Amino acid sequence: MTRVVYIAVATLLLLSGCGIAGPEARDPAVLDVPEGFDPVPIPSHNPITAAKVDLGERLFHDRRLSEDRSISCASCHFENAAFADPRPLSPGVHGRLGIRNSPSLVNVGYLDLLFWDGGSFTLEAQALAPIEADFEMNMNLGVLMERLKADPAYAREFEDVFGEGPSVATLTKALAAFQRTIRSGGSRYDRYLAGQTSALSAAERRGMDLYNGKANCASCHNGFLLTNQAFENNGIEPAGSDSGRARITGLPEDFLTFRVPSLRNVEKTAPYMHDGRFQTLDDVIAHYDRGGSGVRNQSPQIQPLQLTESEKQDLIAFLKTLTDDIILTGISP
Amino acid sequence: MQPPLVHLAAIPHDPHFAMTMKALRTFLLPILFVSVFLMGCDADSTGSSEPVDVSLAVQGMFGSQSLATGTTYDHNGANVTIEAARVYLSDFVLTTADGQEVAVTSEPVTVPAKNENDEDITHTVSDKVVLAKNDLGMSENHFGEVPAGDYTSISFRVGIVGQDNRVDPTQFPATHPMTKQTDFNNHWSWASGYIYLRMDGEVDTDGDGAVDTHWEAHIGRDANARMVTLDTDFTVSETNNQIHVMVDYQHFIETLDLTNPEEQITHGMDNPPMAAKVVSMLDGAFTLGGVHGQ
Repeated sequence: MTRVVYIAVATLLLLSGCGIAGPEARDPAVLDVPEGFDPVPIPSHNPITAAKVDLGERLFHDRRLSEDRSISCASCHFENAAFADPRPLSPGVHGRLGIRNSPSLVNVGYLDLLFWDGGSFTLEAQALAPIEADFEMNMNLGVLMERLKADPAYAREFEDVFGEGPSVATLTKALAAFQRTIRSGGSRYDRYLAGQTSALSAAERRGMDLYNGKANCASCHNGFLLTNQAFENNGIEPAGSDSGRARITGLPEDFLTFRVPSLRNVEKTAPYMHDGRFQTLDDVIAHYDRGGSGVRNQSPQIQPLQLTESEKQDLIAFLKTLTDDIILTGISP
Repeated sequence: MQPPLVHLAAIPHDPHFAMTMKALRTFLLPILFVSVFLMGCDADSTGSSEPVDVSLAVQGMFGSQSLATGTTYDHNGANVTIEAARVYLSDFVLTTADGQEVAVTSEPVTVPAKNENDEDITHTVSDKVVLAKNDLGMSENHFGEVPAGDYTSISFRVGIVGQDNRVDPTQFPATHPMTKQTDFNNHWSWASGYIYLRMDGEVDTDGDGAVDTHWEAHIGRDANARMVTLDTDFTVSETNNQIHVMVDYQHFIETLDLTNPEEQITHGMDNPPMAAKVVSMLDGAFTLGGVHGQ
């Protein structure tokens, strides 16, 4: 597939005050985004450059980042599934399963916190969690650094991009830079909002009205990302000991809350929920129509919807209009 | 110790001399006083002695024995080994004999972080942080400059708290104690917090004398940090400039039965009872072995 990455060269004024010297300052980039989108937040300590993105993409697809060289990031984030995983739980090394569904990485650069429970603060630091987790890539960072350093091509690339060799800092920067370029937009719904009224059919428009009204989806799935990035308990019954964000904060009010995911490309990102328990959008709608399971700490926003069968189908039809044209298409795993 | 005073009252009156002395009082004396009060850049002290470059040695123990990986120890009747034994110490304060506090700081480092509202910020870490990697032996750390003189205590925190514990560990300089370590993990990437105490090892669960089951106690989170104060008189001087702290890792796990499957693995939230037992022992594991030459 042809990668289409819109990169505009910014002046060094963008970097004034950052104190960044060396290769990273030579050709900093600004990422183009669809109309109506905020700029992708790019931290000053990790500017985007074409070479860095190339390096990050290569690392993203490199199975040597896992203990037994069987798993890469792309092994659980499939480009043709909007960089999500069509399996409920992603198998790691030795076939080990985790407890959460791999979320989509599309527009991940906009997220304030990473993971279903917001456990990671930055996209840079986030990469180490799956690399180190024994049920994912199970990789010792010291061994990983030696593997990367032993590859003359990587040694050269890291030096060209960062002015230094592979390290935890440069590895995480490269991966984060690539992931920030994974953007999407331009769905039929976007075109409708821009004034192209013919972009949605009558059924889809009825679905949109339900989304914003009776079905109450927009109370959480709003904004240009179709998520408010809040942590909510949407009435999913617990499976096992996963307590959601409470695992991070230890707060009772965070029991079974998970980050509200973006609904962009929801047609492509089945299965659904934090553990991939719902195979279809019909399953999802049925859950919300029931008013959740009444589990402890369920959000009061989750109430029975009393949708008719026709309304359910209209709502699903609308959800399918949220499928974007992916801006970045990369190398298949 | 009080600063020396320069008495001018005995000097005879001479206008020219008086002008000269006025100039001296105006310009030279303040310089003299400032130079007496100048401290080393690593210490913030209200004392006045000459700064001394001090190191901190943290020695790992297992009960009365020096801690060493590969050694089999008796722990509550069971054989155990230690593979990892590391502890984060921070917020060091030395108290002088006249009650002044000397806080130890370090070269500031600015890194990406999240504030308490989960907003992106940069944060400057200037607190002196020590990662004692006692599975590798004695942990020797440059402490910085502190005023020479008599002290009555040293206090520190077991752990890293507050904004210091909400940073991106991947972006520290490679030699900084808070950088992401590449041998034994020191920071929960999945939960964005430092592991204050990390102990890993094996235990003999079937009583045949050979260790066979992995155990680990990883403790973090602000609420689990503990302050330690070692009340001991000591003197810091040019020839007495290494502070020797001993940490008994067996004390941390003193109340655990490592042969019990329910007391073999904790990372805090996944086994709160086991974690609580370890946390309750954090502040009692440290002693001051002395202050001596390096």
